[in-house]
Amino acid sequence: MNTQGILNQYWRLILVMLLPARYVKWLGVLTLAVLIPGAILNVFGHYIVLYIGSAFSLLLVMMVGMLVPGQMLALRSSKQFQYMADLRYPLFFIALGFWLLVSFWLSITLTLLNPKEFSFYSTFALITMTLTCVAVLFAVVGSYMQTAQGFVPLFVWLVFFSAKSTDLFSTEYVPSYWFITLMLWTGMFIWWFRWQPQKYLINFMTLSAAEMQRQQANNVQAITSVFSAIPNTLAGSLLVGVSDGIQAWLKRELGQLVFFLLLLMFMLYWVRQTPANAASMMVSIYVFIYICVRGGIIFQSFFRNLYRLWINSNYSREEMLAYFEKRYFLMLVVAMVPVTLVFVLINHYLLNDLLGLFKGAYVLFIGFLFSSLAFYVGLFVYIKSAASFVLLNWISPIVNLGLIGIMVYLNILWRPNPSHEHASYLWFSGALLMLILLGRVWVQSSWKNVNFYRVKN
Amino acid sequence: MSACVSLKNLQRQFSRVTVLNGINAEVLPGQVIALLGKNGAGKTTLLETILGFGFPSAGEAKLWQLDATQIAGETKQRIGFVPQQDELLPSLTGSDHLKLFKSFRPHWNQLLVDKLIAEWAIPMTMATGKMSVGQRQKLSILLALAHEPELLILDEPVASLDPIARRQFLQQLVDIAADENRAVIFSTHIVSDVERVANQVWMLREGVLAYQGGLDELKESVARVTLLAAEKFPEKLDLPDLINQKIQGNSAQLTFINWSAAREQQLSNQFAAKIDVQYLSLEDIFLEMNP
Repeated sequence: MNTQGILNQYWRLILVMLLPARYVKWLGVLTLAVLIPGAILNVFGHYIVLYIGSAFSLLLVMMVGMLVPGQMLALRSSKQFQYMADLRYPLFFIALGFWLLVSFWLSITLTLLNPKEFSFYSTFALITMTLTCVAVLFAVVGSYMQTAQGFVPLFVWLVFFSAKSTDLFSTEYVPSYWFITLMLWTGMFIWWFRWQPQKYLINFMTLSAAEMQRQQANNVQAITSVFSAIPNTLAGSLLVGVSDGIQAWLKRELGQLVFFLLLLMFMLYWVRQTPANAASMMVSIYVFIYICVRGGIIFQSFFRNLYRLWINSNYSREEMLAYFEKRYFLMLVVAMVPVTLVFVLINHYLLNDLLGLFKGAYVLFIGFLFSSLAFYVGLFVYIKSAASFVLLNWISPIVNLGLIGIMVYLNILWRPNPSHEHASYLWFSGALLMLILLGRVWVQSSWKNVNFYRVKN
Repeated sequence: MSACVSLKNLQRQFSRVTVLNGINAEVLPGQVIALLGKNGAGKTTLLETILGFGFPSAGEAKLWQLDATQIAGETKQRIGFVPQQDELLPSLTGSDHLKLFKSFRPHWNQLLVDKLIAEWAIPMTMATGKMSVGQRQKLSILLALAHEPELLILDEPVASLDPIARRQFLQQLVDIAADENRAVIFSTHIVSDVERVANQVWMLREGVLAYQGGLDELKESVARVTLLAAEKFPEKLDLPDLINQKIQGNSAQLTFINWSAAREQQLSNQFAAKIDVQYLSLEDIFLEMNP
């Protein structure tokens, strides 16, 4: 094949590897649209636009960086693409080129932003080694266990904080960094050419939201089946999607608690690297998000299974709503209790009361209120959108983000120096409570005419 | 004429389960082979072994005299493949896929591509992840046909297609079959399609090829014989080439393979019975051979 043909092949593969999804292309356009005027304005002494553009480009690089290993695996493991051509060489060299370029660009940026703290020589070596580790881990871990890929970015955080605390940016380590990088890429090369994919490894990050939800639901079902046991009631089990028996509940909550503690351990490592006020803020955000996510997950399974409850239970529409509310709030409280107890102990004995009594109680309270509001917002979506799962996953986070924005604006909880003015906390909670009550009244009035749907997306 | 595919005593085992057991077959240019078999009979495993995705446990699978697992890019360019479930990239559009495939194919029939896109109404600007299963299947078939391969292997290609697209696709297969330099192997459950396009049938049962040969020969070689005798038949008959029997008193319905007209008189004499011979449709043959 002539040179033009080969260049065309590489160009097509680069597009498929680096810009595989529409959202990445748009982010790329947006980044350029901010970076170019930023660069021009910088000449005239206005640097803020350039900084924003740099932040966008960092986000873009992170996204593409996460996509590249997944695309490599997908292209290599697809039987259709295997019969198109042997893509192993081009894919490997495109990935290698991409990661080296990103390392170079990040090092240049850090060196320019803070020349006193970062020397290009050591920064480039350390970043190249770190990103190589991430890329290799992403590809190798993903080839054997795709769901474990999500834990790889945690590795970056750990290395970053360790680097700051143990002076890994020192120039004395530079030869070792290059040696490790070389070894990693050599290992990757050998593995890549020996690896025989057993099945098609779809790149989860390129799936549509609906398809991703479907895959996630399948994964959750596979995991929850492990935690199953004899059901207590048919209606309850139908709503949850798995057994609602006490034994099953205990197993599930134990699993959730272990997950909560694992993430908290990671948080604790992080907390030690940050000032106390920021640490307190991060921990309160973590507990809050945990409660909201648990509430969201409970509601999502209810949302999907509502139609099954209608046909398989003796409840009328009104009775169903009452039962639905009771089960949701019961499960939410049950989910919050073990986590709260464990967290209170950890906060007191390990974190030296990092979160004060008022703050701790308010986080739990506000988490409960957010989850309650999310419940009625979710039912609103169910009624108004013919049970669109995609809309639910757009509207609920938007409502939550809007409320969090108001909290930040009012200086409640999530600022380095939050307000100690209890009145503002009271007003905010009061308004939230009013919204919940209004939502409940609306749902109750609309419920008698509700249509039940098989949730498809 | 040399064979595109040659299988000799092919065996494939997964753990302790034998999926393919001693398969001997050849595929010649101009043949359109329908691979029939029940769910789990080993159709996909056979097709994927022919394509070199996995190593045989014993025996050999060759593509143009080359070991199937060792074929290089040049040989792959002579093959078109449509898997049972498409393995396309979900965020890429149909056009993106076409451009990528085109850049890797030395031979590309753009006229055929344009014609099929129009006929099959494939939404080329839509991301494949958002397409319906049938639309993705059409795109997969298009990608497999565009470089006009010498050997086309399709694993249940019409399962997700609507009747119109199925008819158009089969017409396309007939056109390909008309070119005597090409060969097609396709697995399917839709037996009526086989009668429309295939000239050869491979019937896979429990990992072995229970029948391989011409479609017409198959139809002529399987017969359902009804015997009506004066006396009662024994509960079970033990006759050569008998694959199925239903006995009720003095009436027996027997299905034979390797049937020949000479056996009609022989059976009539043996049981002193009135005999009626019926030749079966392919669907009935499939059901009789896969009880």
